[in-house]
Amino acid sequence: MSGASDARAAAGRPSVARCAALALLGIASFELSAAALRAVTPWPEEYGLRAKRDWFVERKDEYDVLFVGASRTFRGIDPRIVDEELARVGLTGAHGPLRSFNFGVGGMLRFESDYVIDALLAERPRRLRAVVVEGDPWEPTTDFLQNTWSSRTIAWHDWERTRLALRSVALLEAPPQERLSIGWTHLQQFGMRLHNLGQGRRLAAEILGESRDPFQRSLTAAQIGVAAGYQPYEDFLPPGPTTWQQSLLADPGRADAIRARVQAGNERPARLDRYNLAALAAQEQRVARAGALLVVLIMPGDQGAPEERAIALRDERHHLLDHNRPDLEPRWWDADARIDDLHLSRTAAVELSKTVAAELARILRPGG
Amino acid sequence: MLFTEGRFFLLFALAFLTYWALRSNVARKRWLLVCSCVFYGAWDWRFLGLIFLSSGIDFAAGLALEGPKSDRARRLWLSASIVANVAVLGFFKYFGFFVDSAVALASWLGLPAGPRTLEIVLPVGISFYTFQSMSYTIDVYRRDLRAVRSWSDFALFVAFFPQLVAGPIVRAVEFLPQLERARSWRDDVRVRAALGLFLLGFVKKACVADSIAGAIDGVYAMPPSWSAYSHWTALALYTVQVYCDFSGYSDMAIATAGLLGYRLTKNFDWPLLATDITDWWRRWHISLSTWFRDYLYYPLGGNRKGPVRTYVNLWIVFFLCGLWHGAQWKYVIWGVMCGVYLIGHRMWSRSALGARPSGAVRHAVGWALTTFGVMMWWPVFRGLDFTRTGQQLEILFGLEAGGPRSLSPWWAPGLAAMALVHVATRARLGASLLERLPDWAWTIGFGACAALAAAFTASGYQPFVYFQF
Repeated sequence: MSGASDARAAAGRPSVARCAALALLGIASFELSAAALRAVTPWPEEYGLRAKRDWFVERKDEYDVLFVGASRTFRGIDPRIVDEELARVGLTGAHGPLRSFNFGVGGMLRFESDYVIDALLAERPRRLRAVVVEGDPWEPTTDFLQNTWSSRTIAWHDWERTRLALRSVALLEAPPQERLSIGWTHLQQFGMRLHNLGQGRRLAAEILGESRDPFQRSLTAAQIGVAAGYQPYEDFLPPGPTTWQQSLLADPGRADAIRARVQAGNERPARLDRYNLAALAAQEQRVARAGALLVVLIMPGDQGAPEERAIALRDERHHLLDHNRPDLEPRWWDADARIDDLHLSRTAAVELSKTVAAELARILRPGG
Repeated sequence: MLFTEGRFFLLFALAFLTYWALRSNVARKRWLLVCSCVFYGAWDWRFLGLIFLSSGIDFAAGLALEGPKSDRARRLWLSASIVANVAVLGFFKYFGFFVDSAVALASWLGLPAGPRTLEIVLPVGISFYTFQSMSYTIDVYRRDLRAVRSWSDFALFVAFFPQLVAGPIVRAVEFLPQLERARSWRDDVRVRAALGLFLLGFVKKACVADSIAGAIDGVYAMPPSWSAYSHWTALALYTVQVYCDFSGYSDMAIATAGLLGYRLTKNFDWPLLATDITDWWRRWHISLSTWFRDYLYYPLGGNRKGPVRTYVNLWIVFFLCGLWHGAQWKYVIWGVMCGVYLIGHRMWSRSALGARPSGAVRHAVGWALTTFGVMMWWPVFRGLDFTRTGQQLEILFGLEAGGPRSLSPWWAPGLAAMALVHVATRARLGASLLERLPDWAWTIGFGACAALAAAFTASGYQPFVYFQF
C-alpha cells in the first residue's frame, strides 16, 4: 500500500528535466515577446531624433550626403549651403545635383550616432555617397548630462554598440573599479533595451497618437524641411550678443586663451592605444557595405582632438575634415563666430558649410 | 537592492538554484543566510552588524527565558530584550526626531538651544526586523514558543531576505517551525501560484505605483500650482499608489519565499474594499496591525476594561503605530487620526443605529465613507510639510481656488479602470480558466505577460515608499 502511494507521489513529482524545459519555455516566451514589443516600440523623440529619422526614412532616396552628429553639427552645418557649393564646383550625381541632410541631434555622441547610422543604412538609401560623422571620441562614460537611464541612451544599447562600448571601457585610463562600474552600467542598459524596460509608455503614447516629447526644442517635420535638418541656434535666442559672446567681447584675451587650449590639446601626443580603433573600423566597414564613404568631421570645439588626425596620417583611407585647428582657422573662435563654447553662429555655419562642401567635393570626385 | 531590479533577479536565480541543489537542510539554511547578508549588504554592509547584534540579544534572551527560572528573572530578561531593541530602534530612528523636537520646543520657549550636529543614518528595514525579533522573546516569555537552539536558525528568521526590509513582519511561531525540516519542492512549493503572485506584485509596484508616483509627486511638491480636480485625483491616486507599492512588495516577498518553500503571513486582504475603518485595519498591513494587537493592545487590556479604557488603548496603539511609520510629527498626527477614526467607528457600532443589521446599501455607504476617510488622512501622511498639507486641504475644500496646472483628464477613467480590475481580481474572474491551463500554455502566457510588465514599468527606479519606515 505504502509502495503504491510512493509510486503515485513519485509520478506526480515534476522531474528536473521537465522543470528545466518549462523554465526554458518561459524564458523563450519572455524573450520573444520582448523582441516583438521592441520591434513596434517607436524611436525616442527627444531633441527631434525621431522626427529626423522619420523624415530621412520617408525620403531616403533623395539624399547623397548625410551629416550625423551632435548639436555642433546640428547648428553648424547648413545642407542648403553644402548643396549650393557642391553644385557650384560641378559635382553632381547621375540624378542631378547632390543633396545633403543634417542628422545632427542635440547630445548625440559617437555610439549613438553609430547606432543611428546603422539604422539609417538598414533602410538602404540608394543615392547615399557619403556619411559625414562628427568625430567625437568613442567615449564610454555613462553619465553624460545625467542621461544614463534615458530612453535615448537605452535605445542605442543593442548588442553591437554595447560590445563596442565595453571595448572602449576596457581601453579607458581609469581604475579597475571605475571601469567595472561603467561596464556594468552598459550591461544594464543593454538589458533594459533587450527587455524594453520602461518603454511601454512610449508604445502606448504611439497607439494613442500622443507625443511624449518633454522638450520644447524638438523639431517638427515642417521645421526639418526648411533647411534639410539644419537649424541655427539663433532661432531660439533673443536678438543681440549672447552672454558668452559678451564675455568674449569684454575680454579679447579670452578667445586667444581658448584657441591656445584647443591648440595645446591638438599638440598633445595622440593616444591611439586608448582609442577604440575597432569601433571606427566597424563603422567604416558598415558604411562601405552600403556603398558610401565614411568621412569624419571635427567641428570647432573647446578641446583638442589629436587622435583622429593621427589615424588620418596613418591610414590614407580615413577621410578627415578637421576644423578644430586654431592655428589654421582662428576665425572659428571669434566672438561673432560662436554662440557659446561649442556652437557656431549662423554666419559661421554658412562659412563652415561652404568649406566642408569644398573638401567633400574633393573627396567625392572620382579618384578623389 | 529592490525586487524590481535586474541584480535581484540575478541574486535570486543563484540563490534559488543553489538552494534546491543542496540536499541537507542545514546547508540550505546557511546558504539562505549568506544570500540574506548579500541582499542586505547591497544597501550598506555595515548595518549587517546591527541585525546580528539585535538578533544576538534576542537569541540569548530567548535561551535565558527558558527553564525553571523565577517569574522575576524571566521578566528581567524580557525587559532587557525589549529595552535593548527599543534602544537600538530609538537611537537609529528617533534620536534625531526627539532632539530636533526638543530644540524646537526650547527655542519656542526662548531657551538657548543649538542645532543638532550628530547625523544618524537610518538602517533600511530596522522597524520591521526589530519588531520581528522582539515578538520572538515575547512569545518565548509567554511560553507560546520554545526558544530556538540554533543561532543561525534565529538569524535566518530575522534576516530572511524576502521579508527583511519591508515585511511582512513574520512571527517566530509561524516561521521557526518551517526551518525544522528541509522544504520539499513537491509539498511546499506551488510554482504557478508563486510566480503569478510575484508578477502581480511586480506590476503593482513597478508599473502602477511608480507610474502614479511620477504623475502626482508634483502636486504634493507645489500644491498651490494645481487645480482642485488635480488634488482630488491625486488623493485617489495616492490611495492606489500606496496600496500597490506596499502590497506589491508584500506579494513579491511572499512569492519569493514561496519559491523557496517557506510560507509568509498574508499582509493585505483587499483593504480598498473595506466597508468600515475597523475592517480596513483588519485588511491593511495585517502583520503590523496584528503585531500591535497581540503585543500592545491586548497587554494594555484590549476591550476588556470598559469602553473608556478601550478608547484610550486604541488611541495609544495608533499613536505608536503612527510613530512606527516614521520619525516625523506628520506620522504621529496621522496615527492619532487613525485612532480617532477607530474610536469613532467603535462608538457608532455600539450605538443603536450602528448595531442594526447591514445590507447592500449600508455596505455601499460604508465603503464610500471608509474610502473617503482613508483619502482624507493622506494629505497629512504624504504631505511634504504642514504648510503644503494646509494648502492642499484648502484647495480640496474650496477655501482656495487652486492653480492653473492640471493632471491629465485620463486619470479619472484610469482610476475607474483600475477599480474594475481590482474588483474583477477579487472576484477571481477567469481564475478557473487559468488553473485549467496545461503547464506549457501557462508558462508561455506567463513569459509574455512578464515581457509586457517589464515594458510598462515606470522609467527609472524609485525606492519603495515603505522603506523609510
